[in-house]
Amino acid sequence: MNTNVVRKRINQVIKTDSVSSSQGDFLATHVPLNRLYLLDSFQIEPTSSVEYSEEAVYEDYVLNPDNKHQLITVYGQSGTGKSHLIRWFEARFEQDKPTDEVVLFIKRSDNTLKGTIKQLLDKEEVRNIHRRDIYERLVEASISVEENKLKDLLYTNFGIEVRNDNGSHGITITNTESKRLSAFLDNEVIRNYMLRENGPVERMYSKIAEHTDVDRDTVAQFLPSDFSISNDLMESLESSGGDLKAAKMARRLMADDSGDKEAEKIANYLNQFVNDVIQRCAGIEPGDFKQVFLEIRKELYKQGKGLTLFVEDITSFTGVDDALLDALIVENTGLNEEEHLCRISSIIGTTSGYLQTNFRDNHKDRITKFVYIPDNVFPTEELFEFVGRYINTMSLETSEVEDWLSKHANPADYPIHNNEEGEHWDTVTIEHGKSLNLYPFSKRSIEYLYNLWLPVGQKTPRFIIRKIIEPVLRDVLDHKDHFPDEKYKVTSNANSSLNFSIHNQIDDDKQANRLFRFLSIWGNGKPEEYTDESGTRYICSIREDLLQDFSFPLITLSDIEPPASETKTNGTLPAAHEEPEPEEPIISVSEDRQVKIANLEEYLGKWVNEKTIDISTSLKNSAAARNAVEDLTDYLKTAINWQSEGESYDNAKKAFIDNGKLFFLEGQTKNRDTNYPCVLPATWESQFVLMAFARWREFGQCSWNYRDADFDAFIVSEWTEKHKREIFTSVSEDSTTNGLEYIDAALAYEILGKLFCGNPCVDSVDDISIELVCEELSDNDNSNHHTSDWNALAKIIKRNAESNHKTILDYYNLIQGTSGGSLKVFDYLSFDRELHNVKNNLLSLVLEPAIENEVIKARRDIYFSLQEVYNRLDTVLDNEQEALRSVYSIVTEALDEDVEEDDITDLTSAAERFYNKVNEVQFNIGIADCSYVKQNANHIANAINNIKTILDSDSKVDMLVLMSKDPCLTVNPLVELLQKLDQDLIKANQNIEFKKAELGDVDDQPSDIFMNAMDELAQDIARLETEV
Amino acid sequence: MFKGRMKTAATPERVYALCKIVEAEGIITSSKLKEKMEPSFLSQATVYYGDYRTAAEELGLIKNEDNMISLAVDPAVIATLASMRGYINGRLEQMQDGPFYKVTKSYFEIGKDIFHKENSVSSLVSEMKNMTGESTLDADGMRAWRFWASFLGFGYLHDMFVIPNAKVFLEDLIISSELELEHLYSFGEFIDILRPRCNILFPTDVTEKSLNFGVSAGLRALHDCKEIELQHILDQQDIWNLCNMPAHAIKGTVTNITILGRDT
Repeated sequence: MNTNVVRKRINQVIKTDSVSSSQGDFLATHVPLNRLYLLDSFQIEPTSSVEYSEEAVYEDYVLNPDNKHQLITVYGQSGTGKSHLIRWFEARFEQDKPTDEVVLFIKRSDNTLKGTIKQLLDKEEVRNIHRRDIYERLVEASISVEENKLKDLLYTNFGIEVRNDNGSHGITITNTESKRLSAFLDNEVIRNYMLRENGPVERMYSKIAEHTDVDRDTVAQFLPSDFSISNDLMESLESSGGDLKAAKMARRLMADDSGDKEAEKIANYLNQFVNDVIQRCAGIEPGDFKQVFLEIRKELYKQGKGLTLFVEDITSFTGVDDALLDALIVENTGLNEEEHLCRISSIIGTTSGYLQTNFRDNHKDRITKFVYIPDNVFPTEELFEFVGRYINTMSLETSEVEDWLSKHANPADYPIHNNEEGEHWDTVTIEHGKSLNLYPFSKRSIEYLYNLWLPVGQKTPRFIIRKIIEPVLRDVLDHKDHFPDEKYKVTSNANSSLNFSIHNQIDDDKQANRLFRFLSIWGNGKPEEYTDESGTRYICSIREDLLQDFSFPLITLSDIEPPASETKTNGTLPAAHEEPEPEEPIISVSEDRQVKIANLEEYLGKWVNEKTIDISTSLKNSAAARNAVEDLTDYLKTAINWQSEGESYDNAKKAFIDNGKLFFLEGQTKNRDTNYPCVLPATWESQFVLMAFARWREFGQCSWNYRDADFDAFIVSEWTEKHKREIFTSVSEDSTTNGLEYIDAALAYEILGKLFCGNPCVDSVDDISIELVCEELSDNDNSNHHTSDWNALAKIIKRNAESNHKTILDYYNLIQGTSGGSLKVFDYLSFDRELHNVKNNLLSLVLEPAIENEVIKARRDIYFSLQEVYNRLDTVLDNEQEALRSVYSIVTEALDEDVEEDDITDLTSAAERFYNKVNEVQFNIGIADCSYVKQNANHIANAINNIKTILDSDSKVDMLVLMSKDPCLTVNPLVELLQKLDQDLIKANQNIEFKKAELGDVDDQPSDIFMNAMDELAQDIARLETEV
Repeated sequence: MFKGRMKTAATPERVYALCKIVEAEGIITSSKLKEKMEPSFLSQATVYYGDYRTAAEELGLIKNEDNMISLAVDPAVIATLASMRGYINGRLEQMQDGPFYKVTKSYFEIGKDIFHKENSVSSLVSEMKNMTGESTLDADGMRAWRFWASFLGFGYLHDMFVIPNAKVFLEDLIISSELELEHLYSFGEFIDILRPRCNILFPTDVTEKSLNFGVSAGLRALHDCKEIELQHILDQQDIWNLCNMPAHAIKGTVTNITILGRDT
């Protein structure tokens, strides 16, 4: 290649529209098509066993040796080189044509109606054609109608055709269907839809408009998809209050089962009007075109000349194709002899599909020969030649090519450029022994890209140019140091060992990936090298100096014997030697499993390249990739020694061991809602480790017992060592929870549970011990004197108490292995240290960051549980405090504020004396038993003082600890006694008053004893009243 | 574990936790120590305490004098699990007669054939008995071995299988050795410097210059993470053979090594 020249010439030479390149470039890049099929009748995909060369077709038919009327179609898939072949026929014919032959070449670029007629009129031979002035006026008259009006006119004309269809076009619909379709087309919403950008009407418009941006290759037809009705469209149609018939039609088109067929039927029906509508809107009557042709032929007949017509691509002549074909099929002999028409030989290019559907049967019947260009038209060597010719042509100055052309483009004189680049690169030998250098391609790369970049249907010259030659050349010209970049995906032969070898030796990932792509696509992709007898080193079958030419870092691979010289492809890139015999015994692996692994390798390679993957389905590759991820996850349960790394095994269990979900694959398309601690990046390293586990599963059947397992095991162990710290960090929670750990929340929850549920009381939070934390939660049965809010919260805590308790015991258990058994061996210091921390911050753990950021549900749940307690805590404490205040006020009203044991015993003594007197005077008052209060005076006094402390305290934790001892329960007997005394004193006073009054009314004077008792009682009451 | 029978209850983490308590307490009665790690209020039927305390004693981490336990090493030794590992790795050669040493040496001697054996180390009992001469070795002992083999950096646990790769073990030895950074050693020199503390992995016969799979994997891993640089320098006579691995930059033979250090 000559870079300097190529930079100038690439745009001139690389033109996929063969007709627009210069004649010299065209011929210089032409590679003979030697796999043409010649048919007498149309077959959409013929499987002819006889292949013809283009030369044979040219000699036998295009040259028309018998000088007879003929119509030849050249057809094939889009891009197969029909235009190219027709242009080549035309170029050859121009040189070989008889003197009395007029040649007309109708280009695709002039494929508007008027453009086509204009081309015909421009021919020298028809200068004196009859009525020329009329035709010229016809084509010169510009269409003055505005674009929107013209489109509207086109669309309206289809409605007119439907309403006036007399059944003469072949495809018919029923009267009802016709009315529905008319209403449908008339509907404003549908009209706007059909007139939309890139819609069907715009396609028709391109055939009329003389200046339009619409692709001229567009086939001016309705497509079934044009009648695909979306829900939104249907909604608009209905809400616009359109005709019921239109809505009915739309619903038929929307039907799940029959909608597609209905759409196809409507499209086909309307397409039969396309020609008439287009011609009418273009201001040309359907017969005009045929008439022009007949006039031309008559004119040529008068001059004694024949006409050979080359039509590059009739596909682009929609709207005039019928007329054109009608004109071409009229023979000059037989019934038409008296018309005095010249003989016409037509060679017409068309796509297979267009020929099948748009050529009427009477046209097909009149076609003399069908020349079919198959997909995959180039055998391998011709493919190399095709690429080589393009590189050579664009490396030649225009003058060199023109000079060659001026000498009749003789193949023997075909110019070869001087290689500025490409020494030692692959070459291809063409006719006359000329050698074309393929730089910057290798033959392998051409085959690779051809086979893998071009899908079926695109293995055609146009796509070889557009998708292979042009991008590779531009990349090499513009950024050789980055070539080949990410878009050169290694898909079919990604060799893990080679990939590993490269990345193992090159630190720069970008350079490593680049080299891997080059060695896999340009080379043989095998992890091997050799040195030939001349001392030249080959890496993956590529010469070392070729790699240096592209500034690739060099690596070493396994040495193999150089291939025998006779097997070299062309002396520069010999085929690689077969792998040496394995040293270890081969453990048989079924072919199915090998295929499965190869497919997975490709699947994961695609993931690495495209950063997208689905591992959610049951499809083979998806399931195999999922298995590999799961196997890697299983492995890490034991491979990373969580406890040795300083993490409780309980944390790892919660993070991924219990649910098996550790890795979310970068670009994973499904299950994105599940929270995974780690992202497995789409890198070669990830691919290696997953492939290692895939082989472990498939080849070793879940063991390392297979050939080369040692290499996989090494990859796995090295990957583990390299990534265990980041996995460990992802699994631990420090980074997301602002330092808070779930065990803190679990411990706080546990302590609060113990306090709310009445486990053995402590006087201070400092008294909460590991032993108390390890106790099961007390079964609080509500037989207490806490408020209902308190008990409700206790009930809430109990809901998660069991799992929380288990979390704590598991967290501090130094487990052995992964199951550990039921026995606990505590990490005492950690337990003690963390408990101490939590006690100091029992009610002030900041949960929000953890709740917001924690991705692991099992851990997040613990934060949520504690938060639920925290949220209720203030209300519960306030209510509890109010209840205590009420009790305290009862007690302090009767006793001093600083209640001591003696105060209570004095009170009970006085109460006992009171009740003795009551008994003595036989008042009807129930006697209270003061003994319980008297005996527990000490506890009660302490409880009262605790209440006082609670009421005076500013510390919620202190309050909570004291409240948890349920002081009300202790004080309550005293409260009850006081309340009874209060009532009984009133009753006693009332009784005294009553008795005194009663005695004053009678003559009998009471005894002194009774009166004394009454006086003493009155004194006791007075004393008690001051207390109670 | 290292001198007497290997027991699964004697895990490295338990030994470490025990040492940390002893460090915190200074001196502590054995019963009190046991109570902290396996408190009686848990009412557990079995006590593991003796197993891991014995392992700590065998390793010389603690002293037990009349049931009074105290630390036998500088506290820096047990500053972290990694420092404890380094300490233990440095004195394995003193326990050559113990089952852990013998099993480890034999396991590595099997080389990459280990991949073609049973998936579980406990299935290797009879083979290990034959190789080590440890008649009391049992499945429980092999299961116990795997914990310490993994902890001390001899390989990676894959469920019940140990993938041999002595990267971490070798790293500990290199760090604690007097090997100079950035100095090009012949491989033989390197082996000679390490040998007093790594016969457990290296061939006994000094004329046999072949390294087993686990050591080769460890050296390659150290090379890949740039802690060392392995080289085969042409014309050098002191050629050592790593276990063959064609896809790796260091495919087989090495003649020289440079210690690059952990942060380079």
